[in-house]
Amino acid sequence: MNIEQLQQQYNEKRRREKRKIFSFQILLLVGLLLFWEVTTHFRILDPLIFSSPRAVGSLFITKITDGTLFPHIAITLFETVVGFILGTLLGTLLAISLWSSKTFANVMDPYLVVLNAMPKVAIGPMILVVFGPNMLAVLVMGVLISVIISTIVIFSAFQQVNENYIKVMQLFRASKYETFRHVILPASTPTIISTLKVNVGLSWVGVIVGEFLVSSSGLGYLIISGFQVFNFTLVFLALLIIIVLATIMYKGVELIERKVLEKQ
Amino acid sequence: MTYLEVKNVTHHFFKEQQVATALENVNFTVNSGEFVSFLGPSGCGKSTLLSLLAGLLKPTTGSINFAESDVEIGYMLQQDFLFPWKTIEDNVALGLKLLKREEDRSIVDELLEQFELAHTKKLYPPQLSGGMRQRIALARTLAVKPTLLLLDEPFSALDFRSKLSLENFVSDTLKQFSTTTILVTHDISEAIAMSDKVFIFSPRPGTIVKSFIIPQEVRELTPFEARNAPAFQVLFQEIWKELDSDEY
Repeated sequence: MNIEQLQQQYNEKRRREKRKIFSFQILLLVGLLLFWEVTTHFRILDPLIFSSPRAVGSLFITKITDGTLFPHIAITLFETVVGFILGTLLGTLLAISLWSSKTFANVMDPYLVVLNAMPKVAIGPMILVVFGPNMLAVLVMGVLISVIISTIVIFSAFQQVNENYIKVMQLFRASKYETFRHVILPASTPTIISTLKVNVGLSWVGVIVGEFLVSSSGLGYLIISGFQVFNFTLVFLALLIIIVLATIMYKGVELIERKVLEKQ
Repeated sequence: MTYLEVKNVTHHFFKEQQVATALENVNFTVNSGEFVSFLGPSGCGKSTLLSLLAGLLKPTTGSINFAESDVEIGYMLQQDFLFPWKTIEDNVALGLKLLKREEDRSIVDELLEQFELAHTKKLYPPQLSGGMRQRIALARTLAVKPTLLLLDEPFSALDFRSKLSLENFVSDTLKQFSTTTILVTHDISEAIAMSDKVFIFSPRPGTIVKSFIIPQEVRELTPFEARNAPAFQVLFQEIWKELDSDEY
């Protein structure tokens, strides 16, 4: 009886705490938007550069109604999702090939270090020249930016698998492939999924930079074209859409992570 | 009947800076169906010996010969090392699957039934206690019907109570299967309670310094009862002295 009451009190306290945090979060958001609106309205911040929430909102509605926004969103979203999946997949495949041959792994080691250290966006212009100013170049950029780091992280996860699991497999005379399938891959699944989370962010960087360069469509293109004609309302609109989409994608991957890890 | 003969086995580990001698001139034989223990301090090369017997390592010199050509080795490690991503059933069936003997799969159910763990079939290893997991590991090892069983301190990671009950359980099970078994341990009581023969290992480089035959009256008892037998105490003192004199 008494215990139950205490339990209720405890739950009530937790709920109140949660509600408090959430209302502060909303308050902060409203505050920021209000600050933005007021400062640009009274020209404390230059509305030409900083636009205003109202301007961004009305542009959003216009662009939705005339249907000129959706294609850009779809293209960027497609590029990011494909770049993200390909980057992780290729990274995993590369990690598998490194794992399958110690010699190969040792030979590749310095190259991986260099490629990882290199800022991938620096070769953006090269990619543009080689693949032409089209979606392929953007995809390559999106993949390139995440593939090396995925390879390194996943390969090191493969190497960290407890030796004794491998010993158990050897004792049953398992082949290298069987060892991989039954031990290495399932043991590394949590790491592979956490690289997915990193790659969501990286793919967005790659795709937006790619669209800056290719400059024909997508949200990155909207930012660049808005910037060129000094239409910063458009820049902010594109930016806000990117933020929302990237967050949704990240949360989606988190959901997948929870589902997969639950199973294990 | 001699089942296994180890002759003049010496094993080195090569490193860049040094060569470590793990085993030096090890000689012994094991008879069919016998339970033999190797007793010695940590790091004396006992586990290396098991790896050699299992064929995971090749001895630098010397030979290891089996009486039969058809040898199936079962190896149980200090911890269970069950795969947490597989169900208990799949863990036990692992060896059969890898050795392409899936037709023998009925033994999995039989073993689980016999080990009174049939209800855990669909569970995952983290849901089981340490003692249960080690029993499952034994089931995984026995599922492939090994002709030689190697036990590498399989009870050392358990609490005392689970350890004692598991010792009884393993001893019982092995008597039924009459599997030739080699146990490696640093626990004197465990070695005496479970074995027919005990070999004493010296510290690194490991070599056999003495062997003890366990008296029949102790052998016939379960490991738990054996601990209370008068002959057990006598033997314990003798082995203790032997180990003590080796270390200094």
